Amino acid sequence: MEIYLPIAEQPVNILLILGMSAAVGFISGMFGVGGGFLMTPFLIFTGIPPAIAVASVSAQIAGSSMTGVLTYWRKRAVDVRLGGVLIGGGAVGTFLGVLFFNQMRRLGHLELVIVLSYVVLFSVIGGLMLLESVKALFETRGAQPAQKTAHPRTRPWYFELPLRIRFQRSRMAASIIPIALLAVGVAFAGAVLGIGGGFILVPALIYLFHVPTAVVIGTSLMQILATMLVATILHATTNQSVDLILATLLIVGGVIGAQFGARAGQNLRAEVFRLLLALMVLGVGLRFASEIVVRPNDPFSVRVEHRAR
Amino acid sequence: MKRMLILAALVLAPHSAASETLLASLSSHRVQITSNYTGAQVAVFAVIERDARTVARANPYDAVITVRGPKEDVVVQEKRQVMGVWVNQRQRFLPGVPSFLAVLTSRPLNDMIEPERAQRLNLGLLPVVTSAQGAREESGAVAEFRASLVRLRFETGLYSEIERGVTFLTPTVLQAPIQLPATAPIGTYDVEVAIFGDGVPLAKQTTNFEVVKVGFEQFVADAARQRPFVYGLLAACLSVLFGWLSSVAFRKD
Repeated sequence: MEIYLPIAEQPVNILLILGMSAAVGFISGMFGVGGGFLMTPFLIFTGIPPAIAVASVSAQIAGSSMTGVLTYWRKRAVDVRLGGVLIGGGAVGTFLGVLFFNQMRRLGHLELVIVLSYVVLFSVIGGLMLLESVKALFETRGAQPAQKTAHPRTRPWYFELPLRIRFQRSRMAASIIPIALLAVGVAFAGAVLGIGGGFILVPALIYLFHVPTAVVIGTSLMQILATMLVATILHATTNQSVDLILATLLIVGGVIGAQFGARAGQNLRAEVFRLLLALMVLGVGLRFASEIVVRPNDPFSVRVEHRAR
Repeated sequence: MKRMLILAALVLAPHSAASETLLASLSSHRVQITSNYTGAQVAVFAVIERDARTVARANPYDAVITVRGPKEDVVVQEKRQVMGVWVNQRQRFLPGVPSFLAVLTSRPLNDMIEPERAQRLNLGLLPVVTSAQGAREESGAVAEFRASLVRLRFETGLYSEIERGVTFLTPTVLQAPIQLPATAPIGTYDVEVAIFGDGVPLAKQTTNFEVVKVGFEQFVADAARQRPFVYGLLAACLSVLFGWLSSVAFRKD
């Protein structure tokens, strides 16, 4: 079943797009990430121009994070105050990231920087998480109390910096300085690398700030929702690259998948969740690594800059 | 006076005056894109007209039909290994190349005309792309990128070269189907029909058709261009609405 996309100017298979977006939505609802890192390359692979793929996927991510936020909200697993700090820091980071991106593009070699950052970032974070979660799994096997990681014995020094705030839902009180810096950094990387950053934010909140897993997912989704709504409108106004038909298909698949993902995520044990998350992050890193290490089928590629009407 | 002019024309251009004229037509001048569009076919018909003065030809006519889609500017990039990783290293900007290109011939181009002549007459995929480029500076690097463009587009079906794509129904009536893949862009397509006798160009006729979006597809594309903010807002609202709907529909309690 094919449908013609008026902006991308080509037909796509409806069932293929629905199926893929549902799968990505599932991952999004389960891990509190956007899932653009999976969906965008897939669309580009099916022949959709990159700019249109990125823009239409941002609408999908907004949809699936919306439904995820609502689900976690009902479970009282969204920390609005924490989300607010993340959104604020995220706005600053995105702005800086775009500035850096344009500067680097002028100097050339942007692609090498981006690809290498992807690989290093994801492989290192994923590897560390995997080590930790495997260790945690073995420790629980050894009949130790599973609650250990949820209530850390020592409070890290950066909790004690000035401007301390109480984050009720997250069951912690910490200075907003490190949290805001984290948000700035993640959004900066996101803007430069073209990713949402959920994959960095979620583990960081879990490991560095000991926020309960469910609250991390809900709050991360809240931040992603805000970012992606703005991104969708910006993409539409600056380069008219949102394909409404494609976006609708993606949103419908995404919101259904996200519902099931959110439910599945809540039933997971914390250790299993972290293990799966680690494997996903590492998988992304390896995928990007394979992209640059393996000899391409064809060293040449064509990009359309401008088309006469 | 009239006779004088004809005589002058005969003397000045004996070849063309004694030659054939060509009449070409298309099955459709407008390909409409609707929501179930998966490509289209446009048929070319042409009649070679001879009159009393046309010289008799021993061999049958040959025909070359060149279809050019809307022009576009492209960047062709080449990946190279740098410090062990493959990244785009070199690139060339190629302006004004056809977005779609089909060359249909009545028999293999090399059999009907010498390659240098085909190049000069812009016949065949590479010659067309080269001529679109102006091809003033013919440095080896540019030629390499241009050849890669043709090869990549050939693989995706946007460029095609179909030997024996033109059929002669009678010695002077020919017909050819132009296959438009669904990815062929909207815009005006120029169709050039050229006939040859013994490797010599005899007559040429150009016509065109357009590929347009109609109905809902047109409406969406116009909205995106003319009201970008409202359009973006609508997309954002759709996400929120569907997100909410889904959470209500799948609510357990």
